[in-house]
Amino acid sequence: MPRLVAISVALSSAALGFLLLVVAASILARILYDSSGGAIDLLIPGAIEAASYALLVLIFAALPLAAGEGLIRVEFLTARFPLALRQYLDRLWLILAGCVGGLMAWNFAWETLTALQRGDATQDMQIPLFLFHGFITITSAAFALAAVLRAVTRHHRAESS
Amino acid sequence: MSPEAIGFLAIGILLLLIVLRCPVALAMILTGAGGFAAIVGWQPAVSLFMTGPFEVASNYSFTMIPLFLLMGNLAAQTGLSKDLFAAARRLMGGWRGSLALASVTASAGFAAVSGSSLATAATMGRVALPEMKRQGYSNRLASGSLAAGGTLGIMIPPSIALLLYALITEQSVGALFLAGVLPGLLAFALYLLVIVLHLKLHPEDAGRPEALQDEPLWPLLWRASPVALLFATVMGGLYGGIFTPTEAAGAGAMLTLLVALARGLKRQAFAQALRDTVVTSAALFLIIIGAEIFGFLLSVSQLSFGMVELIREWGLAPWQVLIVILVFYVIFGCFMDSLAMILLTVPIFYPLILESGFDPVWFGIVAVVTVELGLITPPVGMNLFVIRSVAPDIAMQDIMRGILPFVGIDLLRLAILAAFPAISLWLPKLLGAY
Amino acid sequence: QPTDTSAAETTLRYAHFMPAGSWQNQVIFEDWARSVEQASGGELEVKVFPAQTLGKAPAGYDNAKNGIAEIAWTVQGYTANRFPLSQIVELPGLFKTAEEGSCAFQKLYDSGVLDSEYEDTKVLYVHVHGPGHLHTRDKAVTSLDDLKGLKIRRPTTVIGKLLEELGAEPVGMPAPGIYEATQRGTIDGFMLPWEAVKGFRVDEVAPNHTEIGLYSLAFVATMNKAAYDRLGAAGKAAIDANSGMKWAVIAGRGYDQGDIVGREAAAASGTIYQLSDAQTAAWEEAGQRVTESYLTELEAQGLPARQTYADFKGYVADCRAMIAN
Ligand code: NA
Ligand code: NA
Repeated sequence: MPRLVAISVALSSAALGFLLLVVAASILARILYDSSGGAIDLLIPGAIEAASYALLVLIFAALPLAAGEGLIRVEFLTARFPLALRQYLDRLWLILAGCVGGLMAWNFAWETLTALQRGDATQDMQIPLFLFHGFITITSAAFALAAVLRAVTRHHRAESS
Repeated sequence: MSPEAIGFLAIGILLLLIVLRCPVALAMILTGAGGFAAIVGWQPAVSLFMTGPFEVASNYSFTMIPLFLLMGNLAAQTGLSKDLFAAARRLMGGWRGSLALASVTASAGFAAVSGSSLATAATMGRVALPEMKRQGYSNRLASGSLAAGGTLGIMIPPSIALLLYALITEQSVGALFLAGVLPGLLAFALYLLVIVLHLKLHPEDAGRPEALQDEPLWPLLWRASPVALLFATVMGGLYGGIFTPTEAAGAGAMLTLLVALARGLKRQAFAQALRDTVVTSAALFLIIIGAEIFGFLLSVSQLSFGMVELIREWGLAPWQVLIVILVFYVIFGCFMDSLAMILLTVPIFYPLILESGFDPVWFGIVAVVTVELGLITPPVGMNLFVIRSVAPDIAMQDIMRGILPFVGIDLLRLAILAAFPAISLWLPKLLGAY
Repeated sequence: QPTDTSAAETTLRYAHFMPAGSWQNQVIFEDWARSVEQASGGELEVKVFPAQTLGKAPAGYDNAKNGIAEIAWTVQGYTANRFPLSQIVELPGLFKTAEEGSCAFQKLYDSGVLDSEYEDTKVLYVHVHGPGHLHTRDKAVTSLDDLKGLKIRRPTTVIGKLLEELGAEPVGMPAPGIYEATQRGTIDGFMLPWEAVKGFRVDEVAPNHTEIGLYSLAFVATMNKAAYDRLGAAGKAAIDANSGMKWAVIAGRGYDQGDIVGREAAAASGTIYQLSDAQTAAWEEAGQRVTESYLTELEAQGLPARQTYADFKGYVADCRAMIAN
């Protein structure tokens, strides 16, 4: 579990760094290009698409992490519930979250195969789409695993969100 | 059952799940897909788990969210929050309750670089709460002013809430950010007023009066000045016609990083800013994905459509529609997570607002004010929880008592903003952004 | 007059991404819906979901495939490499109006050569929009020299290559972002047909228009297979009667009409420039080069690209003659 979360943080942070770089670099390239009258051409034609897919990686890479720290709950009546009931409910929600992750992984696994077979690619940079679908398959499965592991192993103190 | 009935039932189940501590995103996904399955069919519902998340997470406009979050987190890690507080404290030195006034002032400053209320409350809470306790401030005044000050994070631009509203309604991000400036400053002024009035009634809450500091003012202001530079870059670039909104977010985050590096940002702190950003982004995107899937159900159930019909049938006047919506928001906001509320309700209410002839940008401001209110209204106010997590020894009861005057003034502000749209629309119209 | 659909056995949801107030919503979608309802004699009710309210634009085809919407209208080019043969109709200089282009595209589809690209849905009809032109913010473009170094939003990758050949800097971005990007100078211009210039209100930010008619986009209205199979005899007949050439031509004509209105508006607020014959020849030559490289690429994948291209040209000639009469 801690290793899964560490990988998740590292990958997602890297994608965030990349996103920041792409957006900043494309602004800089544009300013250079315009102020030099086109002489300095460092423009990145696919910058917008690169940023979009960086966001995709950022979000899905963070999913296993989100299974622990990213599930926003609303604490309203439950503070008055008996502890056992709260724990039971928390386990139930985590297992259902795991099911959703599993279903996503299942969907994207098929989509990965289809995209691979058909050779689908992104519009601008022509990056094969199966790479992204495959990535989502893995991270969704990891999210499902993280959620189910939490449901099974979580310690006997009901957490507050 | 008719699709509309299924839609209403799903909303009921959604609320029930949320009350039972189901994670908000999961609740939206389960009820959204379940209701969609009931109306359209199981197989299409299962495929929602694919297209929904993919389209949301690869939407270029949404890159603004992590970029603005990163900007705020870097600003916190590099100590801009501390510098803001130090400068505000020096400015207010000698007044009764100077630390509480300084907390709200520094929160307003921090809001200019942070798009999140929770981050603003948490950051300023960490900086200012220990200081106020050391000076003998009462728990209720200290926690109240910080929880309220935190809400400025989503009214003073940049703002994730205004951003989401703009994206849902396809309004200009720039116009909404500008529209938030005056209402944000109004909130700031009213919060100061609340503190001053509160101390007239309960002078003991301010503890020992703080001696006037003789520390020179200018170096303190200089330390905090990058905030002005960052705000000017983002807003100036946006309105000067240099940046698109995403570029403004990227430029703001990059410049904050450069400022942080110049001030000796540690690797550890940089990693922490990245981590905080991706955790918050993932949490937020889970909710956005949930809202997207729930949105499919809202569409096929034609709930908004039905409500527009209903209003026509009842012959409700526009102001009556507005009051109904605002009362709903205020009540709902007591229990619901703030951004989830925007994501869930705006698609339902927006057609009613247009149908009633209201200005969409102005309604965005009004809706976000109600969200701000929701952040500090008991029993479920996220900013209250944040303050408590920063200072676990303060009793929840004290926090709730401390926040009440601010809730009152926010209700007043909501009424003012609803009655006078010009307060929101004057600036964007003046600068030609709207 | 509207058919009473309150007792309809089946509801079909038709998703598209144009605004509810657009002419498309009425002419292409609502009119089609009423026509199908009437033809089905009460079996079908068709509900139109405009403005991406039932699925985001890029997901349109998949949403029809998966049944999220029973029917969807979308742009083939949203996913590169998925409809390579269909996108041959987007190559430069193939037709002059959306009507003749749509008619020819539908004939190409009816010939069966594109079937393998659409095997997971039931295609209702295909069409194109009218020829796209160049629109710029500050600089009027009347020669290749003027174009040099300008940052131009490219509508498709093929046109991106064309722009590169002509010395411009292609930039990729979604169409709804054009207004803001042009306003802020992130791009110097873009290529769109007149109809879309008006639809996106981008004539407000780009007053210079160069009428060259260089490219088009392919569209498809398509239905979930299982949803079609489930229909009764009357329902199937109603769908069949509203598939194919008839609606391809209606959509094409709608786009031509939109182009006329859009061109008038652009002429009123800005300036329309024409290229000299010599300049036109230079553009067309560059167009031929990218066409050649696209067809070669497809042939290398084992697709009958050259034959399809030639067939399509023939269909355009047929359709042009037919429309003239
Ligand atoms: Na802010
Ligand atoms: Na609340």
